[in-house]
Amino acid sequence: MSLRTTAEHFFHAVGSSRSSALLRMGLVALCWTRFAKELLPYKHVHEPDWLVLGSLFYLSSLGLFVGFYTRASAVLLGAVLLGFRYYLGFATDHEPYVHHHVHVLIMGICFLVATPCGRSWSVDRWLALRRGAAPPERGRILGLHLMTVMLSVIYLFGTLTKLKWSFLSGERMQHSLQLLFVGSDPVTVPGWATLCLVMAWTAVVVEPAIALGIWVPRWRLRAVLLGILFHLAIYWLLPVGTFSLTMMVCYLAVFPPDEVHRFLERMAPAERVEDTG
Amino acid sequence: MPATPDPTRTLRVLFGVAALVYLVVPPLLYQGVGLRWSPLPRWRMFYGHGINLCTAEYFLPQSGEVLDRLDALGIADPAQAGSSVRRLVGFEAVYRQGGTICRRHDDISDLRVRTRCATQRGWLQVTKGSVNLCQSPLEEAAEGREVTYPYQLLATGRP
Repeated sequence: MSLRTTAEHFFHAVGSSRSSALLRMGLVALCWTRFAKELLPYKHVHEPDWLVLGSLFYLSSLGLFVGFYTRASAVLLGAVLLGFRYYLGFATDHEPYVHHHVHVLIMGICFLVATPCGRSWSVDRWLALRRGAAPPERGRILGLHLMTVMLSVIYLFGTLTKLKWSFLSGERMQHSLQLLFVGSDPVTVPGWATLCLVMAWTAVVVEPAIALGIWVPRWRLRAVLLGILFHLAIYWLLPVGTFSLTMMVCYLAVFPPDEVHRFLERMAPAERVEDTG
Repeated sequence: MPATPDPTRTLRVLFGVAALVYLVVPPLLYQGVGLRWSPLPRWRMFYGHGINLCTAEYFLPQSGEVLDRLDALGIADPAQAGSSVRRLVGFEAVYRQGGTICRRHDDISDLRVRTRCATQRGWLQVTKGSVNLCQSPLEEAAEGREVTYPYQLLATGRP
């Protein structure tokens, strides 16, 4: 495939809107999990910036979740979340909002803008059907490609940070696990150091494998399954908040949308429900 | 007649290129080049997790007996120990807990501690137990190192 064809595909490919719609709902649900409690208006009665951003968050996230004025809602929510990071996070020094857990969610929502995520399972579609003018469940899928790049970037730079002796020797893994499971007593469990060593090397092998594997059609499914196992293990062992789930939701973006569409149809073929009442 | 440019296509390419630049360049600058500017997005999962956790092995120098830390603090059930008791973050916490043990036990007048603290370079042996915690100020108890992370050796300190 020439560079020109690759670029044409990357920027302008068209595909089913169903995987984008699933991503839309999944990412918004994760946004609610991460932010909603903290943005309750009674907590910020004397902070107008928080009140305004919080209100816009609720408004835009609801619109995006149900798919009402979907693209506008995605643009607004993306802008609000960027406001969380760069204004509340950096300008007003609210550290949790500069965290990578938040950043991956922000990027995911921003990339939804460049997907047809409102063309399936949305109020917009329902209204269009009522008007008898529903567009096909298809659209440009640049946003999905960007999410795939994002996943690779996260894994590759995550690996880059780990390529140092303290991590490769297993000691940094010991620090993390000891903080959570043991505390400040010296660990006397046989094989502890070996276990941490194996876990560290697993991380530095698995992460780049996923980063590259998701781009190769033959390896894609295996890379995603490996990634799901990897993130479930992390989710089980370490306090990662929404990060693991966000990564797993974003895996939807690596599959060609038409394949996802066909898979969904096979899983749930259209059946007529007879009225038995 | 030349084809008219499609503004939507152009906009999509601009958006895509801007997004790619935002995805790749900031972490490259921060993590690759070493430009430490905090607003730059980077991906360093668990980079700081566990840092400055210290392990403490309190012992009596005369007999060489290693104390059960929680037992010495009068905590019979480890599940009842608070997080700040179980997890000593920073040497100062190790020192203070040693002081608490000294005060709780009239028969302990000499208590030593072997301490390792988690740093970005791995475990660092901060103390080897050559100073009596019951009678030494914090600065002396650190055995020639700074008392805070990253525990650099003081110029006059012992190796």
